Amino acid sequence: MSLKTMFREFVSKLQKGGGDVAQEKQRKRGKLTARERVDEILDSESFLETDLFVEHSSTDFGMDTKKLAGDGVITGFGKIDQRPVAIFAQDFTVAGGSLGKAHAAKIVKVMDGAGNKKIPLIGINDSGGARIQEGVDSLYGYGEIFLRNTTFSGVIPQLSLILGPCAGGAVYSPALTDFVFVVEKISNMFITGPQVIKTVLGEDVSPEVLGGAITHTAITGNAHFYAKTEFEAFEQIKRLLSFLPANCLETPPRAESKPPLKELTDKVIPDNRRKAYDVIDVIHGLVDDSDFMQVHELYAKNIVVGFARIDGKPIGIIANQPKFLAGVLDVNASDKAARFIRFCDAFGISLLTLVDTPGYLPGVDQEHAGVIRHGAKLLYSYSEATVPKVTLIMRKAYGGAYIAMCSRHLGASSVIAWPTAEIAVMGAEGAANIVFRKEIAASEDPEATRQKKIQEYEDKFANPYVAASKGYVDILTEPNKTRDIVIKAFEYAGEQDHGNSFRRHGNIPL
Amino acid sequence: MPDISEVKKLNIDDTLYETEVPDSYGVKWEPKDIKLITAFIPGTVVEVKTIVGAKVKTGDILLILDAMKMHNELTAPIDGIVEVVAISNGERVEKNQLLIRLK
Repeated sequence: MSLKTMFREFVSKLQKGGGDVAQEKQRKRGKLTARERVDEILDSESFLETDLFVEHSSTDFGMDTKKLAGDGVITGFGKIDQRPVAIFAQDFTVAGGSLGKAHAAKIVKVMDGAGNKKIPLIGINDSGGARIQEGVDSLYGYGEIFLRNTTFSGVIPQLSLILGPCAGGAVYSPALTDFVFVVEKISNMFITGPQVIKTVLGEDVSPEVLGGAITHTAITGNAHFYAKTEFEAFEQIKRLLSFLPANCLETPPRAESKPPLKELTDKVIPDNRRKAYDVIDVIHGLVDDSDFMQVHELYAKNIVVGFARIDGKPIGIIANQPKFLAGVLDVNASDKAARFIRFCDAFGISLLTLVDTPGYLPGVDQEHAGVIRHGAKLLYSYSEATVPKVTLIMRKAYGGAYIAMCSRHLGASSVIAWPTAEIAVMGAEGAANIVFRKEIAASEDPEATRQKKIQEYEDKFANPYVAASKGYVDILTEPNKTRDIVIKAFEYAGEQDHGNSFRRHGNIPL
Repeated sequence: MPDISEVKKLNIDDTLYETEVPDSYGVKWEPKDIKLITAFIPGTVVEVKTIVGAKVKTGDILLILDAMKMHNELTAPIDGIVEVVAISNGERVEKNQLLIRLK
């Protein structure tokens, strides 16, 4: 056999991963193969594969006779929309995608490549977990990956696709990255799987319920994006990257400015102050092309976060959602918003905050779940952020929640309010009951007096004028003029300097 | 699985808002009855260390529960008298199952 033929046969064998039978099995599970995934995500012909010929050096438990193609992972570099990225894809058809020392070393190498070149890292997880035969070497491997996930955090965007099982220690690499994508019926993530739970605890639970795509997007918040198919997830990755810079030093990618598809009118806020509306309508009326990509769409729906563009420039939007739980702040909403704010701040993406919240969610469960500690993350993140921060108060901004939602006092570059804004220490009902308690109790018709006092309080304080008279609100405007003002506000806002570059880092309450 | 949300009235600081509220919100909180000693984790009772009628002091070991590869000591949270011993040695217990009741 000639050298050339030998080489070609070797390559083709390695590229088949676990071989035809295993690949067929993978497809029968409704999954693409690792190589198909890489090809689908990257621009065609852009992939430069590295370490195809890497082999493990394990000798225990009969491993010395086992050859594993690429040691179960495909690694390399490529482009998405002509912008370079680093990528790895675990190959479930090769020893279940199990992670041994060589497998981990390949991932580590491509991560270091991404870190050096300062380009985004995309990880495709499809692995049974640690390669037990390799013992502590596989643990070493995970640790090396976690270390890099952390040191590159805030330097390059790191995206994780869960396209198969991801269990035990393996879950912590995705958990340390910026965004996690899951796919219906394919993704499974848990620390201990259903079998262990069954043996140890006697509790019956399916993998889907324990750690499936819906569980992680709607209940745990471990995953940010939910897709029905792998192809949909790949499109989400491309769309997300279109908003992000390649690293923390680069300016986020500008696009051509486009008007929103729908104009914002006075009708967006219902006349009845207690009626809910969908804040997404407001966002669509403000941003370029009405194009808004929600992050954590199914989790803590009382706050909406995501990416859009305004005048061509990417921004991160944080908005209370009156449609769900009246738009209150609670434990999960605080965590969701805080993480998003910190991501945007790390990558120089300006923040637009849309405020309509009655306050924090009352309840024993919230207090016991630590709403104080979690709520503090939101305050911390906003205060810490040095990117331009523009705040629009649409309706209710009461009490602690008013301060928390990027008020002037937490360092907003500009605070804009609509005439419908109500900026007060609390809602009229609650305030009247406290301020006029004696008067109400002493009157002949307490209920009539109460209503009268509520009305008095409302007339006096349920508006933006008190706050604007003190300079807490910079600009008052109407919905249809808001987009232009937001554009200008961002244009004139600069990066803030907190003047404490000597500190190592703060101590965010976690 | 995820909560079902419905449009309901939500009271915040005496103002009623019409908004979607998930089922899990508003489940009434009830204080824990500290006289009930329950299994905080499923496991196997290794040894019951007390009997009905025994006087116990706070911190006395009532029973040993084998769970998570560990012999866990369950102790009396208050001074009292053992009223009920609901399990016996070697018994497998579910999470939150009543083990011992004090009075």
